Amino acid sequence: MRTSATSLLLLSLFVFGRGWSAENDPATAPQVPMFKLPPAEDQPEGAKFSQSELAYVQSWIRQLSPEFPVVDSGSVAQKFLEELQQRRPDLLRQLLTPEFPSGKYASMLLRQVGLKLSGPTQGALREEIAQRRVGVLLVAGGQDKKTAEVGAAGLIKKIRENSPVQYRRLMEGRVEDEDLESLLRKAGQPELVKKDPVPEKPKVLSAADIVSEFSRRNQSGAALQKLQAYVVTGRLKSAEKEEMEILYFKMRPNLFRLVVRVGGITRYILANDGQRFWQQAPGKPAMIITPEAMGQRRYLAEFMDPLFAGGGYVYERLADGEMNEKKIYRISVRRTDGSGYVACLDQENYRELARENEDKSVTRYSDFREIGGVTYAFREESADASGQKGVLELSRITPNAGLIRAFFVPSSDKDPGYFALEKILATAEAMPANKIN
Amino acid sequence: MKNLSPAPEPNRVLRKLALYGLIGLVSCYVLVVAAGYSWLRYARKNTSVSVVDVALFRVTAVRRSIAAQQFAKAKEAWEAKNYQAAFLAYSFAVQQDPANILGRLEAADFLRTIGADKLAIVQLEVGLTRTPQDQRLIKKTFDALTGAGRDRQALELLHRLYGEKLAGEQGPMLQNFKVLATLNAEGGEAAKKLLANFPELAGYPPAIPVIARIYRETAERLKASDLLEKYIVSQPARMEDYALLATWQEADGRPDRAMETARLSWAKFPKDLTARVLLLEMTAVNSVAAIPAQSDIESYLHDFADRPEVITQLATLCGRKGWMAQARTLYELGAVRQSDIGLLALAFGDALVRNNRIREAAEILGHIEAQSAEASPAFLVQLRLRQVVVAAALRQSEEVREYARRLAVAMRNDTEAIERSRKYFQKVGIPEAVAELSERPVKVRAVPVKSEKPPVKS
Repeated sequence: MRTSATSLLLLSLFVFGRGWSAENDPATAPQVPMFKLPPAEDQPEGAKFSQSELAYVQSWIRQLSPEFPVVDSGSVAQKFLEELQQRRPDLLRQLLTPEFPSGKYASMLLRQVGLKLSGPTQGALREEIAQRRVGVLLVAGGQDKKTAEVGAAGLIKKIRENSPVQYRRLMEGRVEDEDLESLLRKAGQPELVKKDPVPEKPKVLSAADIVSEFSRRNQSGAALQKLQAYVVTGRLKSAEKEEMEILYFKMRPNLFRLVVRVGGITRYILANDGQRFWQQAPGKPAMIITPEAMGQRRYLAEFMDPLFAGGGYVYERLADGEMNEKKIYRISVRRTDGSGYVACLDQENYRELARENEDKSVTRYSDFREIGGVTYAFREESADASGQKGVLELSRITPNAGLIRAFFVPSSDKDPGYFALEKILATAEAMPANKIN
Repeated sequence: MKNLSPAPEPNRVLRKLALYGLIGLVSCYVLVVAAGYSWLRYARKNTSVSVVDVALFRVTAVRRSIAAQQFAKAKEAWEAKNYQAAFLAYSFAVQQDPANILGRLEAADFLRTIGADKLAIVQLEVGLTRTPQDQRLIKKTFDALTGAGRDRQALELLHRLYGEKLAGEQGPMLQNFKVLATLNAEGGEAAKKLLANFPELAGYPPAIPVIARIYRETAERLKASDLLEKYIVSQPARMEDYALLATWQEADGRPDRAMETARLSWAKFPKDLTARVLLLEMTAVNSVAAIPAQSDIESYLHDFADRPEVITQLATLCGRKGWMAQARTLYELGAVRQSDIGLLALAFGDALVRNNRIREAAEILGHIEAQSAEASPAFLVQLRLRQVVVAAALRQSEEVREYARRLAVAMRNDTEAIERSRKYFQKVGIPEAVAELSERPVKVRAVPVKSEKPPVKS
């Protein structure tokens, strides 16, 4: 009797015990496929990773950057895994376990996300991702999350001021982690007292040299060639303290459309369709304006700063000057119609700090930022001869936004009213209670 | 002579040994059960597992209990937007309890949220392979497959799991999906032949829109409209059924009935922007000028002003209908309100094409092309499709082939998407594009074989 009970117990331990230990301990569980792979034709070419690995990275992307378009997360996951495999193939085995050091590789993933965000309308998100990436690196370096967030913003600002090229590369996800760490270390250090360089024999630069250097320093590679059109959004504070929203559309070679709005309603449109200038205000048909009547405003049709243009202008170097304790080059820029102005360029970085116009007014430029590889001033301050000031602060520049020639041509009187529809939208937005949902 | 004590009997020794062995084994057993239970109860904090479950080695019960805990944890993590943790928890839970259908469906929903649509479909397929008769899994799996344009994959799965005989309780649903996938993949005639084998489908309400589509594609136009009309009046139809019916009715020269259908859809889906656009479209079609009235556009914009897609939706309709002036005004309006106006430009181009102003449309596409160096693949597909059509209208064969090639690149060699485009070009009669897309090497479909490393959860 005793023997049979013992046998039963032994048997039960043998039979169930195996099942228990094998199936319930995840570490020793048989590698049963939980997710089977889809057919080979559905996998990206050269796919080396399982769908689970890709999906895990996609979940991670969603966590780090919920705003990132999910349709693109698959390709980013693939790139990240390729990079991880190249750098740390041993870590791939840990990927689907909680032991995987996510914090250490979050920056690498955000870099891939940044690389994917190349669209003209994704600038703000790109910046946000870059800031998050710096924050993640600071956290990995031992800082707490809150301090890191604040620190990241400060460091990015510093990088932007000190090295616009590195800033742009960071925004575009082209700085690898090791380089970024050293960049952050440099940006975090108090500014070193610059040693007096050994005085070199100064080379006398001609106007053409300066203009060429301006063109080189204010764009990355041939970025300007790729720029076919752009949209500028900003706010203009006039001398009378009136505030207006400015939308400025430009397209090669000389098309422009300036929309001036107040409270979401267009006050007027001023444009050039390539051959003639026209203006339109609410309730009125479009009116053709002669170039003479346009005055200085006709130069709004210049697609880019004349210093970028190369041909079609005559440049002359004037006596250097000083502005805000900075040494400046002064270049006279003369157009084919005889009009012109004096461009004041910072001798150190070739930013255009100001323009001295023929009517004695001066426009000062500041807050330089690089968008799509081209440097723009996000703040313009104009003062006329009598001292009246106006400030234009840009909030966004969208390169290659999808502009078409027809947009610069005045609409026919038969067209449904742009002004009326705009008013409807503005009114409806101001009264959310009236909405259907 | 020594008085020797008797030697112990060999049986006694054995009995003693057996007793000690038994005591040892029982102790081990108790120890193992206690350790297992303590680990589950205190380390894994699983309160639903009882000592009896562990003591009796109820493996399935314990695994289910662990999985249920993980499913709950995953849901919690998902709600807290901790997607990484949610992914690991769902993966582990599905692995522990593969028979938990609700959990699997939830995991599939989660996967779609993070953009892992392929894995979601795979997971649904695996679930369906385990429990082929589960209605929820059948619906979700085949909806996902046919919705993503993977009709051939759907047909293969149907064949693999159910063979040719689609009978039983879920028979009509399976038959319906088979007919739908055949209609999408092989066209109306093939679907009609198949439909003849499934007479009971006529009495299965969800199949009515599919049957109506078959009639439509096999030149029984009025029969199709009438059938779908009866369906939307008597059944809880979807918005797309209303839109389809109204479009058919309008194309058949019955604008008044199309108007009625649009009104019905608007009454049923008063918050749906597409229902309102449909109503606006049919109102315009019924008007003398055959263009939307300014007041209707104003009313639409007023009611949906807070929706980011309000302008794009209407502009798309204007492009489709050829309402140039409206498309242009909406482009102007969009330009001052949204940063991405590429789609509005394409809509204006569509309106020009509808009015046979092909060269102007080509110019617009040229402008967009010059500005699309960094455009998304989805936008590029839209652009390339139009470029092929416009180049064909201008009889530029070389350009047609070039744009068709670029279209395939934008589609990233997605064979099913390319096949759909090929069929579209075949339908509209652009042989150069059809030839270009047909020449692409088609990869051989492989049966899923590669095993996956399952995520490990500690």
